[in-house]
Amino acid sequence: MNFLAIEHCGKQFAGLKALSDVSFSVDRGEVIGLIGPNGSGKTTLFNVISGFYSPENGNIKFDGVDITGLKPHQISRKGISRTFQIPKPFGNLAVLHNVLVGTRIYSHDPEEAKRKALELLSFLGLKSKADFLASNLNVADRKKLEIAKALSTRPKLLLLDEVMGGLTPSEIAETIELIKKMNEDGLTIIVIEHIMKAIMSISKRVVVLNYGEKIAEGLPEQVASDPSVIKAYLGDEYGLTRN
Amino acid sequence: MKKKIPWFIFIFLLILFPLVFRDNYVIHIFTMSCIYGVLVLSWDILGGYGGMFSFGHPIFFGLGAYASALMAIKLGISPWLGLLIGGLAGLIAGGMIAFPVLRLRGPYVAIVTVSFLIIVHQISTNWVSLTQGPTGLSGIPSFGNIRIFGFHLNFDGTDNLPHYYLAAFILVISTAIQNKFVNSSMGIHLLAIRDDESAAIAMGVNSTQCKIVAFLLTSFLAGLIGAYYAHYILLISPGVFGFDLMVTILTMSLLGGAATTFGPIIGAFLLTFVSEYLREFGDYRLFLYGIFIIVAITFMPEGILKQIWKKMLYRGVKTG
Repeated sequence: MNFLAIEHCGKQFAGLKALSDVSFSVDRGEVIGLIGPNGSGKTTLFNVISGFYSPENGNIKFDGVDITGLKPHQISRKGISRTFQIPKPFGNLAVLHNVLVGTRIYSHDPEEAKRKALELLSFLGLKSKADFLASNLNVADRKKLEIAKALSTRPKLLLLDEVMGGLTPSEIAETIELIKKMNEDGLTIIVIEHIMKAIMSISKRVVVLNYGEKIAEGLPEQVASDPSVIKAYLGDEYGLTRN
Repeated sequence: MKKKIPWFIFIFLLILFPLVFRDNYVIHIFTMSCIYGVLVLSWDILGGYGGMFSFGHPIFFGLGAYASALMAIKLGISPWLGLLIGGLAGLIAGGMIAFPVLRLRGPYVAIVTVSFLIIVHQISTNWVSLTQGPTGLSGIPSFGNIRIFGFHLNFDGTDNLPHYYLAAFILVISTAIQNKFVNSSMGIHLLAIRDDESAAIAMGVNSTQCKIVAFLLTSFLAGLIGAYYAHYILLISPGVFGFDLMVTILTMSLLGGAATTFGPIIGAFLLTFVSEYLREFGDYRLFLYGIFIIVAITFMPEGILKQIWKKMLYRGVKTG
C-alpha cells in the first residue's frame, strides 16, 4: 500500500487552475523531490496535502486513511508536518518555546517536552540560541527553526517547502545532510526546491509540475534529461542540462 | 522552589497590607485593587496571551453583578452562591460572544466586542423593570455574618476588613487558575495562535478550541468578581457596563505588563492607588493621571513587570 497517495487532485482559484489532475504516490521512507517553475503549483499541492486548501477534485490518502478535506490541525495529528516557504516563527516567543508548542502536545510531562524540544534544537544546531527571541533570528536560523517546529509534532511525513532558498553554499550543504539524516531516522520526506544540485543528490524520485499539471516523474537522472522538463525550464538559469 | 518566591511575596503582602494600613478607607482601596486585579488578570488571558483585544470585558463583569444581585433580591439566593452564579452568567455570555469573534483578529475583535458592550449597556439602561435602569439596583444583600475556622466575619457592618480578605482570597485563587492555565499546553498554544495562527494550526494546535476555552475562562472570572462587587458595594447601575471601565482595564494591563501572571495585579494596584492619591490635587486629578500614564508607557512600553524582569535577568546579550 502506498504511504501517501495523491489521486487526481484538482484545485481551482476563481478561474485559475492551480492544480489539474495531479497524481503520484510516495512509499514509506522515500525522499521525493518536487520541482517545477515558479507558479507551477508546488506549494499549492503542499497546502492541499496539509489541509490548508481543500481540493475540488481528487483524494489524498495517507497511511491507508482518506485525509481529503481534513483541517490542518487534524492532518498534523495524523502525522504530516510541513514547513512554510517564508518561515513563520512565533516571533514573540523564545526559540525553545516555538518548539515546545509542538512537543507539549505529545509529552504530557512539561519537563519531558522541554527535553525533547532541546534535543530537536541540538539536532538543528540551534541549542545555543534556545533563549533567543524568535523574531531576532537571521534567515538561516529561521529556516532551521521552521524545521524544528515541523519535527516537534513527531511526523511520519515531512513536507519541506524551499528550505534552502537564500542560504549560502555551506548552509545548503548542511541542510542536505540534515535531510539525509532525518530520512535515515525513518522520516518520509517530500522536498520542494529550486536548487537542482540539492534535489538531485537527495531525492530517490522526482516529480515535476508545470502550470498545475504533472509533466514528469521518475529517477532524478531520467527527469533531468526529459525533454518536456527541459522545455518547461528553458530560460531558468538553473537549466537542468547543467549537472 | 525558586519559582514560588513571587507567590510567597504576593500572598505575604496581601495578608500584610491591612495589618499595616489600618484605615478603613485605605482597606477599601485595597479591596478595589483586588477587584481590578481579577478583572485585568482575566482580561489579559484573552487580550495579552490570546492577542484578542476584547472590549467586552465589562459585559461579563456587569452580567455577573446583575445576575447575582437579582437572584439575591428576587429569589433570596445567598450571595456566596451568587458568586458562582455570577461566574456562570459571565461564562454563558462569554460562550455566546466567542462564536462571532472566533474568526476575527486584532482590531476587529475590538470593534465587534465594543458593539456588544454598547448594546448590553443600552439594554440594562432601558430595561427598567428588571434593572431599575440608571437609578441603579439597590438593596443588594451583603455576605452576611459567618463563622469560619473559629473566626467571626461580619460582612454586614462598616468594617471593610472581611470584604478585603474575601476579595484578596478570590484574587489569589484567580491567579492560581491563571497560572495553571498559561503554563498548560493550552496556554502555550494560545501564545502561538497570537503570534501566528496558521503556523500554530500547522503544528496541530486546535485554535478554535483554545480560543473558546480562553473566552470561557476569562468571562467566568470576570463574572465571578462582578458578583463579588455587587455584594460589596451593594448598589450597581448600568455603569458597570462602562467603556471607561474597559479603558481602565486596558491601561492597567499595559502598565503592569500584558501576558504575565503578576503584571495585571501590579498594574491594578498601582493605578488604583495613584488614582486615589491624585484626589488630593482636586481639579488637576485627571490631567495628572493622564500625564502619569503617558510618562509610564513611554519609559516602560512593555509594562513594569517586563522592565524589571529584563533588568534582573538579562544582564547579558540574550533577549526575550
